[in-house]
Parts: sequence; C-alpha cells; structure tokens
Amino acid sequence: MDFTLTAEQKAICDNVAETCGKFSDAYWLGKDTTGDFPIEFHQAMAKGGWLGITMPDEYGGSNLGLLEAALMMHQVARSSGAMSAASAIHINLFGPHPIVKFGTDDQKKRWLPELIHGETKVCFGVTESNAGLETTAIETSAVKTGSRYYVNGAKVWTSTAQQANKIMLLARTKPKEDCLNRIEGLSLFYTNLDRDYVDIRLIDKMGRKAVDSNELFIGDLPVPEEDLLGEEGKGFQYLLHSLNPERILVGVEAIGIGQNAIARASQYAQERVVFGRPIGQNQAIQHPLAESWMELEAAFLIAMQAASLYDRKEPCGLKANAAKYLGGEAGFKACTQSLMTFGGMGYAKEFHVERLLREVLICRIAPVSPQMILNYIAEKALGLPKSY
Amino acid sequence: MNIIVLIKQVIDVELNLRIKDGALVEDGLNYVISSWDETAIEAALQLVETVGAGEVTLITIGPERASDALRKGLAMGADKAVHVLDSAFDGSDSFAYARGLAKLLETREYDLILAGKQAQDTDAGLTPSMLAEFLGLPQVTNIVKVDQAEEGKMVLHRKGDHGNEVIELTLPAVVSVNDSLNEPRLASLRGIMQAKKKPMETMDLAAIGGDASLVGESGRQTKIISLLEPEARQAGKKFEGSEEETSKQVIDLLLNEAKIFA
Repeated sequence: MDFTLTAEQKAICDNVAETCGKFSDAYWLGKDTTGDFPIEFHQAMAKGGWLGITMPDEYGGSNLGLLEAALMMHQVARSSGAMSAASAIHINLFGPHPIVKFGTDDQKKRWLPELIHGETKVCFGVTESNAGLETTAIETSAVKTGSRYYVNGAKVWTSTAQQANKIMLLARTKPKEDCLNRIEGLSLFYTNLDRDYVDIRLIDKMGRKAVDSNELFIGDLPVPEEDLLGEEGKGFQYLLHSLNPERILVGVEAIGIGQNAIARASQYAQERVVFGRPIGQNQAIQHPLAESWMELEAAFLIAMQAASLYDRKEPCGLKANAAKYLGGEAGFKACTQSLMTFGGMGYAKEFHVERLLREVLICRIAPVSPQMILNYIAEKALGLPKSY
Repeated sequence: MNIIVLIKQVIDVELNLRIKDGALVEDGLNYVISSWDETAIEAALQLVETVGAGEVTLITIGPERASDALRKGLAMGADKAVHVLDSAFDGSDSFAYARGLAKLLETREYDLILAGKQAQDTDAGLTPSMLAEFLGLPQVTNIVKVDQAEEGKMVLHRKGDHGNEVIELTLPAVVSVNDSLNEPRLASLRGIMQAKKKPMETMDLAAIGGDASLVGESGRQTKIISLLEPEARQAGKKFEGSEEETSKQVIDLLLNEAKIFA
C-alpha cells in the first residue's frame, strides 16, 4: 500500500493550487455578493487544459483517471472559491462521461473538443421536483416524430443553465406502464439549450451563489435524433456510470473547503489575543480544530481509495458513498467550528468563514442525502434489510 | 537560439519558517522554484518563441527533490533538463556552485545563460556573476526588458541605480533577470503530462568532470555559521487625549526620539 503521489500527480496539485491562487478572497466574495458567474476563473482553468483532465486525448483531453480529477477538485475547493469554484467546472469532469462512453465517433468529434476548451458549457437536466433521489420517476417526456424528438416537462436544480448552451437531458421515451422495470424507458440526450423552447428561472439560494441553480420549463423542445446518446431507453443506465465519480468528487470538495476553514481558524487563533494569550493556546479552541483535521484527513484517504478502485474498474460504490458522507460531514463540522473559533468576527463576511460554511452545506445535501447513504451502507455493507 | 537556464529549488517563503539552534527547521517545508528563476525560464521560452528556433535547457544542482523544480520548468515548456545530483555539493556557497556549473557548461554549446538575479533563499545574487567570470563570458545583471535578440547579439534594459541602462551585448553571455521582466506562465495540464516524456539527465560530480576538493565544504569560501530570527516588530504607540494634546506628543516624539528633523 503506497500512499505516495507520482511526480505528475504532485504537479497537478501544485499547478491547480497555483492557478486557483490567482483568484483572491476579494474576487470570490465579490462573486458571492453579485451572483455573477466566475467566468475569469472558468477561462483560466480551460486555458490550463484542466477541463479536459478526464477526457480522451484524441479530442484534446489528458485521459487521466478519477484519482487525478479528485486531486484537482480537492485543490480547487480548497481555494477561496470553495464550491463556487468547484461547481463552475465540476460538471466538465464526469458530466460528459456518457458521451465519452456511449457517444458515436461523430458525436465525440462534435462535442468533446468544445467542452474541453471551455467554448461550450453544459448543464444537467435530470432532477425534477417530483423525482429527486428517485430519478426513475421523472415525468419529462420525449416523443419522436419523424427525425426529431419533442421534449416537454420541467427540471429543477439545474446548475449553470444561465451560462450553458448545451444540456444533458434525461427524458422518458416510453411510458412507465409499458416498461418491464423502472430503469427502462428513459433516454439521454445531449442537445442545444434553445431558450426559445426552454424557460430558465434562477433559484435564489443560500450558498454557492456565483454558480446559478435553476428551474427549467421545457415546451416542445425539438431534439434532432443525432443528439440521442447511445440507445433509446437506456439513458438511466448510462447515467449510473457517473454517480460514483460524482460522489467521490463532492466528498473531496467538502474536504477541501473544510481544510481551508480550519487553516483560517488556526491562523486566527494564533493571532487573536484575549486575556494575555492567543486563544489558540486554549484547549477548548485547539481540540475541536485538531479533531476536524483528523476527520478531514481520514475522509480524504477513503476518497482516494474509492477513486483508485474506480480507476482500476473495481467495485467502488461503498467507498465512494462513504467518501461523500464522511467528507460532507467532516467539511461541515470543520466550517462550523472554524466560524465559532472566529467568534463574532466569523459572522462578518470579510473573514470568509461564514461563506465557506454556506458553500459546504451543499456537499451534505447533494447529490445524495447522508441518510440515503446510511441506508445504502446498512444494506450493502452490513446485509441489513432494505429500509426504503 | 539555445538557452541554458540556471534554476534553484528553494524553500517556499510564504509558509511560516522556524529557526531553532541557529538552523532552519526542515520539517513541513515546501519547496518551489526561486521566483526570479521562474522569470528566467519564462524569458527563455519567450526568446525561443520570438526567434522561432532553438531550445531551452534547465540546469540545477540540488538534492533528489530538486528534480520537482526541473519537472515544473519542463511543464512550463522547457525542452530538457540536467540535474546535477551529488552529495559532494552539500555545504557549497555561491562560489562552489558557480565552479561546479562552470565545469558542466565548459563542454556545452549555448548562445545564452539566463538566471534569476538572486535566489529567494539566500538573496546573495553572486552565482551568475561568478559563473560568467569562470567561463570568461560577458554578463549583464538585473535586466527588466529585452529589446532585441538575434544571432550573436542582444539589446537589453538593465535596471541601474539611476534609471534603466540600455545595453548591447555580444553572445554568448550570462544574463540575470529582475522579476519585473515578465509574468511567468502557469504550466498547463498538457505541459505537465508532456514533461514526463522530456529528457532529464542526472549527472554526478564525476560525470561533469568536477573535482570534489573544489565544491561543497572543501571548495567553499564562505560559510553560514548561524541563522537568526529577524527581530520582531515592536508594537506601535497609541496616543490618547484631545487633538491638541496628541499632536503635541507626536511632534515631541518626532523631534526628540525619531529625530527626523535633525
């Protein structure tokens, strides 16, 4: 068991940290205030080739694994941009995976290079208000007439739709009652997000303000048949391939945010003097931060293990879910503790830890709740009866 | 134009450094390319891009970990690297390093040797000048601008005490750069992946034809005998009272303690 990074992996961490380091606290606090998309950051990452880290090299990517992507996203989230930085580019890493895995050569040629260069931005139209975790319950439909599908329905929590010109869209192509099982009858499309047929409404939300979340109302959106990915009716299975990578990435992102928070808190605890000594000399301040440090380190190791299993094409579901759970919980705790270390100052935006706390919360909620992970672990790791 | 860039891997001074018993605490330190040397790499890459031909070779003398610095320079776009790795260099001062570098460069062909004007750790700024002397080459220090570069000749701006000097220089030569010369590029992911395929030569003292008595502890002319913490900044003074009272106190201190009008 060797925990050493290769020279390239180390260089990836250093260079991502350096690129992210060009974007200051003031930059991200500004974006948090205005809600503007961090376009400058997105461009810098595209220019460095980072958006193509997991994409095949024949289309301009670097063909690296989930481990490298996780190292990269850990550094991104650890920077001041936290989840806003991560979410601005995160979707590029595994979102287009169905294209890589199931797309035709022509589709790959048409779509991948633009994505890698940051010229097109994609959003994800999967979740619906009546189908969150129960993805197969989605109601958005695609009906084929001639060489086109016409899509009708509504999606919610679609990130970056304000910026995106493409959408990866899951829609029902065969009525549920005609299907043999619940995962059948859904199809995946990668198509133009044509605003003539899609009404995009911004959801005002707690954190990650710079990266928009939206409701989409889709009315008769025409989708040419060449924008269907793989076979009709198999869309859900295609999406499943991206679930474990997403969990691992969200886990390391939460860890990065937590580590940033405790670094800030430790610095403050050294500088802030009360009753003639730095507050960081008090064990009531030290111990919770030390506890967070250990929890974050431990969660990071399981995330790395999960990523390594995924790259070796071994089953990684348990570890991937554990990484997302442990990362999300440890990150949240670290940010909370960091804010409490700052005391009243932590509540002020200029110290940034309240922003980190708002940013990290999404990693607890999405893409799957901590309770659902516990259900899954109880069932799959412990052999207990399924509870839902 | 074939360019040699001398780089040094140094401690990242942005992290908290601790000194104990006259020596640096090595635990938990991070190492980076000295920032002036990164400027030199960028300058070399730009020169080769402008001239449209030639290659950039990085050279460092340093321990095992110094290969990270070379790899980073290769990821930025340099073509190849030479790592002089030999414990005989331990304890070298600028003089001993310059002598080692001179030995290595004696047998190589190049148009230009670039380096940072000083290293971020020692701030000595001696190695490029000593190397020029050992190699019998002309040199210009502290350049802030390149006006012209062609076969056998360069026109440079050097930052002097009383403004910028515009200097014409015949090549080959040694040039050291000021960090205002450029903004070093960030390595791209592609650069990082290509770097591992670029040639990196590791040479020991014997391979460069060096003499152990002329480098390291036996070759050095100076020795750092102790490191001291910089003096802590003293707390400021706070004046209280009416405007009239406080301004009197301030003027009194400026006149009698700081003696700024003396």
